[in-house]
Amino acid sequence: MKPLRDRPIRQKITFVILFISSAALLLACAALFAFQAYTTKKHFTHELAVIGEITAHNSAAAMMFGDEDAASQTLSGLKTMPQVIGARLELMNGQRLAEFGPQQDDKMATLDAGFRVEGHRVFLAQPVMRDGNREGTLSLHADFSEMSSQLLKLYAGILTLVLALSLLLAFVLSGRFQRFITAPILQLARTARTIAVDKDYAVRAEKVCGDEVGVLTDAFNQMLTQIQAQDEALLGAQGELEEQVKALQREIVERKRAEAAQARLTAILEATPDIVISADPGGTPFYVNRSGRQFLGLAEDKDIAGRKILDFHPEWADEIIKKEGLPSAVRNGSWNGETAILTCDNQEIFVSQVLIAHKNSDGEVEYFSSVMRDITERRQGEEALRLSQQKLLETSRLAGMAEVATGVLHNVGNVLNSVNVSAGLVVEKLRRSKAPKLAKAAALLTSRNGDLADYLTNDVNGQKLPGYLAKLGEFFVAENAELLSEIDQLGRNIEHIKEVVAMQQSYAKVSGVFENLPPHQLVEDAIAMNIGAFERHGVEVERHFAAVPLIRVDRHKVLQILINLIRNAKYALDEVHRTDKRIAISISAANERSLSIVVADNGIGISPENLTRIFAHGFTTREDGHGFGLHSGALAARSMGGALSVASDGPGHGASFTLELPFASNKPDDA
Amino acid sequence: MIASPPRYRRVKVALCSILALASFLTPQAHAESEYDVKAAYLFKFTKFVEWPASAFANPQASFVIGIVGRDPFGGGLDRILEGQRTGERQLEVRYLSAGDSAGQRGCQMIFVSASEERKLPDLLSALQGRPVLIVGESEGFASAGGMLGFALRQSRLGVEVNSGAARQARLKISSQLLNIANVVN
Repeated sequence: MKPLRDRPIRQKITFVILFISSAALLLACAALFAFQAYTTKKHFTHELAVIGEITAHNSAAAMMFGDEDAASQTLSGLKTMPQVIGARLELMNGQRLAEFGPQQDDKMATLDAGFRVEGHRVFLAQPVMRDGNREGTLSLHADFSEMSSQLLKLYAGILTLVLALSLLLAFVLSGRFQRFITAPILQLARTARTIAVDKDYAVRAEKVCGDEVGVLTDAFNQMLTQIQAQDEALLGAQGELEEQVKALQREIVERKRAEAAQARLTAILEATPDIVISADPGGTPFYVNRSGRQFLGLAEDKDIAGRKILDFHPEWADEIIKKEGLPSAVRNGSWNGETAILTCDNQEIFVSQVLIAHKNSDGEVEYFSSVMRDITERRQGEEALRLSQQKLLETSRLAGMAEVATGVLHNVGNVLNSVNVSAGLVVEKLRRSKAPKLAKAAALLTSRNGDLADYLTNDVNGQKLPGYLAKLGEFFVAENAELLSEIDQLGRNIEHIKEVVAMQQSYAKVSGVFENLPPHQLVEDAIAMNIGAFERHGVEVERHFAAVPLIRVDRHKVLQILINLIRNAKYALDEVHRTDKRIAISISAANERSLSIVVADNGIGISPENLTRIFAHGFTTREDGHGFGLHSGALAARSMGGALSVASDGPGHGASFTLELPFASNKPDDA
Repeated sequence: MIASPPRYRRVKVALCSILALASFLTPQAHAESEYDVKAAYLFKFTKFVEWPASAFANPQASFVIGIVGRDPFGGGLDRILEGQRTGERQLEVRYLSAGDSAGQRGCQMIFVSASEERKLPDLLSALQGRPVLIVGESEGFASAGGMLGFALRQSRLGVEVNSGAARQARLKISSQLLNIANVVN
């Protein structure tokens, strides 16, 4: 059972109407009943008075003549009235002439004339008068309780009936008429519920009447308009807020990260053996790390306020810092120098000092940091080092010579191969020379001396001899040309050897002569120097030469690089057991300003980890290698304004080396 | 009551003495003679009978009761009526002879004593049409033409009324009196 205040408004109104109706009816009935009871009582007493008067009047003669029979007869008329329960006639001398019913002597006796009402009982003393004289008294005793209870029952019945009918009528009518009140309210409530459920503030309540509900509807709609506006504003604000929260969260994460980074940095600063001191521009320190406190003899919790950073240094170091360090740090951001600090027992410790000026966005110095490393040991070591350096100088010179020799031998060895091939070729040709045949022809001619003309004209052999000599001459001319070419190649190789030696002697100093050269000539020379090895190992050489401008290089350096690359390719092919051993050499323009020469092989390849250190000095994968060729090659390429790079898809997939070299400019040759 | 405290006993004694004194004083009232009662009745009759205005000489005139014949009251009527009034009128008693018609006409009520009742017819004729109430004391007086007569009923003095005679004399006898009286015609 819900309490009334939670019940629907329709039930409330019905209840209120019924309650008011019942209350009004009950009040009206009660008033009616009270009025009726009052008037009935009044009426009854009046009636009793009239009866008393009549009876008294009628009994006057009987009293005056003392006629008891007549008196009794008169009184007996009262017995017909149910409410009269007792009566008597009494003479003035107290004699009772007649009586009936119960006699309430005490109450009747005290009453001389008039009424006495006690609850439902009424006592009446009516004087019996005749001709202005009182002859006696008529006393009546009446009880109207029965009558009033009957009246009460009657009224209660009527009241119940009227109440029931009225409530029924009120219920029916209230059900019919309360719609005038409830219908607009319920409609408003439905609208409100719709809005509450759907959260759709665009809905508006329909105004159906002009009373307070109408005013309420208008106010509701205005409120909705406001809510709608505020809701939109709120949504916008919420979006902004979310953005801000996100930004804040990001900031927090950033800050945490920054704090963690700062904590790490602080930990690093605390852990480093270097002395770190931070001070304001006035030179008052506010941070000294643990190592610094140890050096300066400061307890970990000792306050450093009141000290000046210059107090930590000896005077000569202060001078350096003031005159050189601070201005330089302010100007350049930092200064690096060697100074000293004073320990607690006034001992100077040499330090390598870095002075950093921290500037704000306006470029003003906010504070200085000083990082100092104890170089006492280094200073001590420096003297020993100087001595050992002198000793080492000789050793290193020897070592340098060995290194030079290695380079020379390496490069010379490469060229010597070619020299050897050329020399072999020359020897072979000379061995197969037709010079003896010329000598034989000459001897034949000498033996026919005198009849030479006859021999040449008549003898079968003599007739063939001039042609033979001519052919021999042609052969010698050709052979001579071949030998000259080979000797020329030999000369070039020897020249190269000279250059190598000279180059190595100058220890990779740029000393060579820059010339404008056709790149394919250089490549062909390099191939020619290794041609014998290719033939021995069954290596096929492919050439892909594009037409490119001249390049401005040091011939011998380029040759040295190319020979190195080609020999490396040959070694890479030695490691694999395949029949189609191939070296592809291509020349093309890398871009407007440089040329690229690619030496690619399908040999053993290079593992990725080796790709990065293949140009390092001393790196080699060969047992008899020096690890010098590629290193010096890369250096040489760089010295000519070019570059050397490598690419490989891994072991077993071959490798390609690319040498980039600059094109010759249009400037006049400055060689 | 058996074990009444002495205090109540004393009250009882006092009460008894008062009652004794009362019984000693009251006998005179009870021991009224028949004519005292009749005299009182005569006075009371004036209150239950209505006389026409012509019965009196003027509004202030006394109400006269005439006694015809020997006075049986022994002057008692005078004593009873002394200082009494009926309505606004004073009461007066006259002693008359049977033949004194004029005197009789001046009365409003005539009491005919037993000694004069045989002269009733003369009296009636003399007072024919006059508003005079004629009261007798013997039994049958009313039946004989009188208007009111005393009659003894069970040791009580009763009244007989001849209402027809009273009507002829233009006298109205109260129904109350008629209620207690024995009505004859």
